[in-house]
Amino acid sequence: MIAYIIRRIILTIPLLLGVSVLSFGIVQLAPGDPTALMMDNPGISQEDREAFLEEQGLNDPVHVQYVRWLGDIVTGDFGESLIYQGTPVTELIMARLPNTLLLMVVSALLAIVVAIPFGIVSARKPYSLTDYTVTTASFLGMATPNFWFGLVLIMLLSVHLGWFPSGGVATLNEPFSLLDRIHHLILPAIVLATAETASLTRYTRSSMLDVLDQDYIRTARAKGFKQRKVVYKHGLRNGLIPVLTLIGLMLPTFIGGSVVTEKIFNWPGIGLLFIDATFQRDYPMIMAITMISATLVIIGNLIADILYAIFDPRIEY
Amino acid sequence: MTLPEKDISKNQTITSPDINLEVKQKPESLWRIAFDKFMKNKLAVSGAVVLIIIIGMAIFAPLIAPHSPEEQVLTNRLAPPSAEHPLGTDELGRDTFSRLLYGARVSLTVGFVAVAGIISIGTIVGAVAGYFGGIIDSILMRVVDVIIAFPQIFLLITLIAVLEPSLGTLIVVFALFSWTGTARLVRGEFLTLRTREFVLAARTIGIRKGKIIFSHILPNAIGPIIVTATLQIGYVILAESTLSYLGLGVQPPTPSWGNMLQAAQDFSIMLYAWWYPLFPGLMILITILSFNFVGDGLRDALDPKRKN
Amino acid sequence: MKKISKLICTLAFIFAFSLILTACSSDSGTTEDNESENTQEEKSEVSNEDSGEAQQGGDLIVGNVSAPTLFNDMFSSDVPSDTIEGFMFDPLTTIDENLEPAPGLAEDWEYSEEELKWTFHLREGVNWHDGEPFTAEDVAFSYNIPLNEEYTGPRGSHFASIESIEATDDYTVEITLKRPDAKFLFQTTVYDILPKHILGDIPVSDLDEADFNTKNPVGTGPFKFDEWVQGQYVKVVANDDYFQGRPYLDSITYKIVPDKNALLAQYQAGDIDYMRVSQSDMPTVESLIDQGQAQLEKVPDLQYNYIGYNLRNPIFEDKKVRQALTHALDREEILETIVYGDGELSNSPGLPFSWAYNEDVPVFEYDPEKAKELLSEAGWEDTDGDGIREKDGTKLSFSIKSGQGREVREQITQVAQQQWAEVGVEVTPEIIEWSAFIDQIHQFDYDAYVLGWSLTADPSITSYFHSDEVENGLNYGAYSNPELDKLMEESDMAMDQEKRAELIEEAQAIVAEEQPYTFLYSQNGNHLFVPQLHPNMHSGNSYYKIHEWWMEQ
Repeated sequence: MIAYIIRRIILTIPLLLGVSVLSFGIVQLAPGDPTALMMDNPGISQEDREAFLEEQGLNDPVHVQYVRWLGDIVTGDFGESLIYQGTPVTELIMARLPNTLLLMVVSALLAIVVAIPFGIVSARKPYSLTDYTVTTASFLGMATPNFWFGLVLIMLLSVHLGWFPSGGVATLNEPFSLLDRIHHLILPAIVLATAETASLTRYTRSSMLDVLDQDYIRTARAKGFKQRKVVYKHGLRNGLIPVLTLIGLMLPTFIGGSVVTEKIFNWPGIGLLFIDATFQRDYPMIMAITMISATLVIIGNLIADILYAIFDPRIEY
Repeated sequence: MTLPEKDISKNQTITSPDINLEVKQKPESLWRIAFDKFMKNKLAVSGAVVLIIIIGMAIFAPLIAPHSPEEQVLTNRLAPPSAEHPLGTDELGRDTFSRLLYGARVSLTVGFVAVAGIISIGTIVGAVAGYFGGIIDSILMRVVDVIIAFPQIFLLITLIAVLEPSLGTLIVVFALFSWTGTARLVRGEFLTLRTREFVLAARTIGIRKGKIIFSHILPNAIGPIIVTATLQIGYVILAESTLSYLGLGVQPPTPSWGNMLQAAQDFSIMLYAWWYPLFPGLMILITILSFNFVGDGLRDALDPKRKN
Repeated sequence: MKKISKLICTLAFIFAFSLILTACSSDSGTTEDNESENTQEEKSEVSNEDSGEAQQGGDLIVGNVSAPTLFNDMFSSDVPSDTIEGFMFDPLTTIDENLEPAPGLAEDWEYSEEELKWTFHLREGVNWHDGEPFTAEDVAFSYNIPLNEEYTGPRGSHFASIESIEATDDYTVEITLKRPDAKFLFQTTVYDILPKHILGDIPVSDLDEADFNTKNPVGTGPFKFDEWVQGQYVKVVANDDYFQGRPYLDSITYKIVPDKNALLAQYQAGDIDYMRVSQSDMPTVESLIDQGQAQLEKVPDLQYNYIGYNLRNPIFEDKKVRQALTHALDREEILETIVYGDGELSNSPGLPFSWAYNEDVPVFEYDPEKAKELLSEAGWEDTDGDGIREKDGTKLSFSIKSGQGREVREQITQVAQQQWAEVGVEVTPEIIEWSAFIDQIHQFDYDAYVLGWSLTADPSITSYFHSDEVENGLNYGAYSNPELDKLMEESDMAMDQEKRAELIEEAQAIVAEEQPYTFLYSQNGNHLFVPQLHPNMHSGNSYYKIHEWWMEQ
C-alpha cells in the first residue's frame, strides 16, 4: 500500500514537468505584449515600451526564459507580476486561492448532496416518470450556459427580489460575519455547481444501474431481501465508489467553471485573476496559474486514486 | 463544462465481449436492434427530430431567412418581435431570426468540425496506444495525463487569446485540447479487443498493422465513439458560448449563437428587450439538450447489456 | 457507508478551513474599520459646529470594472491607479474647471524672459501622511526620477524637455528647460509629488518594485492609504491633516467589479455609491433616476473616437479617398443610435470645451453621392460590375480593425462595412482581442482601425500628427505634412496662450481638411451616484476637489 502510494507520487514528477512545458509553451505563442495596455495613454513612447520589455527579460531567447522560469518555480518563486509591478505572483495568487477553494468545496458539496440522491432515485426505477424528470432536469443543467444562468439569477434574486447580494464575498465596511459570508456564497455556488450536479446525477444513475444489474444484487433480490435494503445496503456501497473517484476528477472542471462564475459574481478568486492576466498579457501570472491549477488537479487525482485504493478492496497494488 | 467523456468511459466495462463477435457475423441485425431500441426511447427520438429540424434550418438558412443577417436598420434597434421581425431585432437593427439561422450554421460548423478533429485525433492516439501498448502507450498516455491536468478552459482561453479568436482558431484549439477523453476511451476498447481471437487470426495471416487497427478492430469500437462524438458536439457549442462571454468566441460581424447571446448580455437589454437574449439562449439550450438526449439514447441503444 | 461519511467529514473540514482562511484576511480589515468609525464620531461633532451645508462623515464606495496596479505615478499607467493616486497624492499644480492650471502644492509660479527657467513657490506647512514636512526637496526628487538613466517606467518622454531641477530653498523649486515648452505647465498638473524621505534611498532602478507602491504609499493628499485587498477593493481614509482641510468623507473604497453588468447590479443592490455607466445602460439608469435611487451627471470626456487610416497603404494616399470615406459614413446616425446621442460630433482633433477649438473646420457631412464623386475623381471606378470599385487592378477593399470588448467601436466597424459598401468600398470588420489589436496597430499591421484618444488638458496635437512621431510615436497612420509639422512646432513653443490657441486652431483646420482620420465623436462621461452624494467633477477630473465631496447622513 505504502509502496503503491510512493510509486504514484514518483509518477507525478514527469507529469509536472510536462505540465510546466505546456504552461510555459502556450504563453510563448503570444503576439501581444503587456505594454499594449499602456496604449490609450498618450504619454508613453515606443522607447519607454522597449525599456520595459528589456528590464523584464522578455527579449531573451525562449529556452533561456524557460530554464530561468523552471529554476525559479522549483524554489516556489513564480516571478513578479508584470502588471502589478513588483508584487510576487505567488502573493497575488495566495491572496485569492482561498476564495476559489471555498467556492469549489461548497459547490462540490452541493453537487454531491443533490446529485447522489437524485441519481439513486432515478436508477431505482429506470424509465419511470421520476427518471425522465430527473434526466431532463440534469440535461437542462448541462445545457444551460452558466454565464446566462448566473445573470438571470442576479437579475431575479438579487436585483429584483433583493434576496441575495449581487456579488462579492462580503459586505464592504461591515465587520466579519459568518452569515454574511454564507449569504454571498449561495448564488455563485449554485451556478458553479449546476453543470457538475447534472453530470454527477447522470453518472450516479448509470453507476447504480450497473450495480443493480449485477448478479449478487439479483441474488439478493431473489433471496427475498427487501428492495429498499438491497438498493441501499448492497447497491449503494458498490455503486458510489466510482462516483467518489469522479469527484476528484471534477477538480479541473470546477477550477475551469470558476472563471465564468467568479467574473459574474465578482468573486475574487484565481479564475478572475486568470482572465485579467490573459487579457493583460501578464505572462508570469498566466504561467503560474495554469501551473498551480494543473498541480492541484494532479494532487486531486492522486488523492482520488489513493482513496479508490483504500475504498475498493479489489484493487491490488 | 460537463463530463460527457467520463460518462462514456464507464461504458468500456459494460460493452460485452461476445456481442462484438456478433458484429462480424451479422452486423445488420445488431444495428437493427440498436435502432429499434433507440426508437423506443422517447427523449432520444424527440432530440433527434429537433436536431434534424435545426440542421435543416441551418442548411436552408438563405431560403428561410426573411432578411439578410447583415442588413442593419439603425433606427430600428432592439425592436420587439413583430410580423416584420418574428424574433425582434438586435443592437444594430438586424433581424434576430435571420441571424439565428445563419448563427446556427456557424455554431453547428464549429461543433461538427471541431468534433471531427477531436474524434480523429483521439481515435488515432487511442488506437495506437491501445494496439501497441508498452512504451508507446506509456508516452501517449502521459501526454494525455498532462493535457487532462489543465482545466480545459484555461488552455482554451490562453490559446485563443494568444492566437486571436476566429472560426479557424476555435476549431483547431478545441480539437487540439479536447481529444483526450476519446483517446482514453478508444485505448480502453483496443486493450480489450487486441487479444481477441479475430485479431490474432488477422495477425497470423499477415495482415498489415494499419489494416488490423482500422479495418478490424476499430469497427468494433465504433459504438462508444459515436456516443462520445454526439455528446462532444453539444459540449463544444456550449464552450463556444462561454468563450464568447469572455470575448473569445466567434467574432462579430459573423453571427454565432454564442456571440449573439453575449451581445445581449447587457443589463438594460435584458430588462427592456428580453426577447433578444432569450432566443439565442433558447437555441443553445435546445440544441445541446437534443444532442445530450440523442447521445444518451445512442449509449443505451448501443449497449447490448441494457434492456428496456 | 462509514467510509463515505468519513470522506464527507473530511470535505466538510476542508470547507470550514477555507472559510477560516478567507475570514482571516478580512478580519484585519474590520478592526481598522472600527477605528475609523471612532474618528468619524469625533469629527461629526466638529462639523456640527461648522453648521455649514456640507455634512461630515460617510463612506463612499466607488465601483469600477478594472483594478489598479500600483500607486506610484512615475510607474503606473492605468486609469484606476491614477484615480486612487489622486486621492492620496497631490501634483504641483491642478487642473481647474476651465481646464487651466491652478495652484496645488505650488502656490504660484513664473517663468524667465527667455522662457527656459521656471520658478515654483511651494505651499508651506504641508505634511506627508507620516507627519514629515513637505519641502522643495521632494519636488526635485520626484521630477528627477524619470530623468535618471536607470529609470524603467513609462514616463521618460514626458520629462524629456527638462534640463535640470533644483530646490533653491525649502519652498522654492527652479526647473530649467532645454527649449521653450508651452506644454510644460500642463505636465506639472499630471505628475504627483513623491516623498523623498521614504523613497530617496532606493536606487531608481528598483523604485518600480518598492513596497511603497503597493503596501504603504504615503502622500500629501486628502486621503491616506488604508488597505488594498487584491481583486476586491482599495480603501483610503480621511487625512485629518490635509492642507486644504479635512475631507468631509471618512473614507473612500474603490471597489473592483470586473463585469459591467455585475457592476450595475451592485449599484442597484446598494453596494456601490458612485460609478461610470456606459451609454447602453441608459434605459436602466433612467428608471433608477425615476425611482429616486440615483442621480446622473453628464460631463464631456477629454477624448474623441476616430477611424484611423494607414497611409502606408496606397489606397489611402489620396486625401479624396479619405474624405469620401467620411462623406459615406453617417456619423450623425452613429452618434444618435449606437452612442444614444450621448456625445458631440467631432470634425477635428479639437474638443469643443477646450480654449483652443476651431469651430470653423471643413466638415464632410453624410453624402454618399458626394463620396461616389470623390472616389471617381480619385480614379476608383467599378469597371467589372461587381459592386466594388477598383483602380489599376487593385480593388478598393480593406479591413477595419477594432479591439475586442469595446462594444460601441465594434458596432461602428459593422456600420462602416454596410455604409461603405453602398459607395462601392468593400470593408471587412476584424474584431481582435485587445492586447493583440494594440500590438498590431503598433506594428502598423492594419488598413484602418477604430480607436479613441484620451487627451490631457493641454490641447497640443503634435504627438498624434507630427512626422517625427511616425516611427516611435503615436502617429500610427504615418501622416506627414511639413506645413503642419511647422505649425505644430510653433504652437508648442508659443508661451502666450492666445497666440498658441490661434496656431493650434489653424493646425486643427488642416488636419480636418486632410482627414488622416475620420473623426467620429467625443463622448460624455456618465457618472451615476446615490442621491445623498454631493460630488464635484469636470472633464479633466471626475474626482475634482474630492475633499469637498460630502454625503447626506
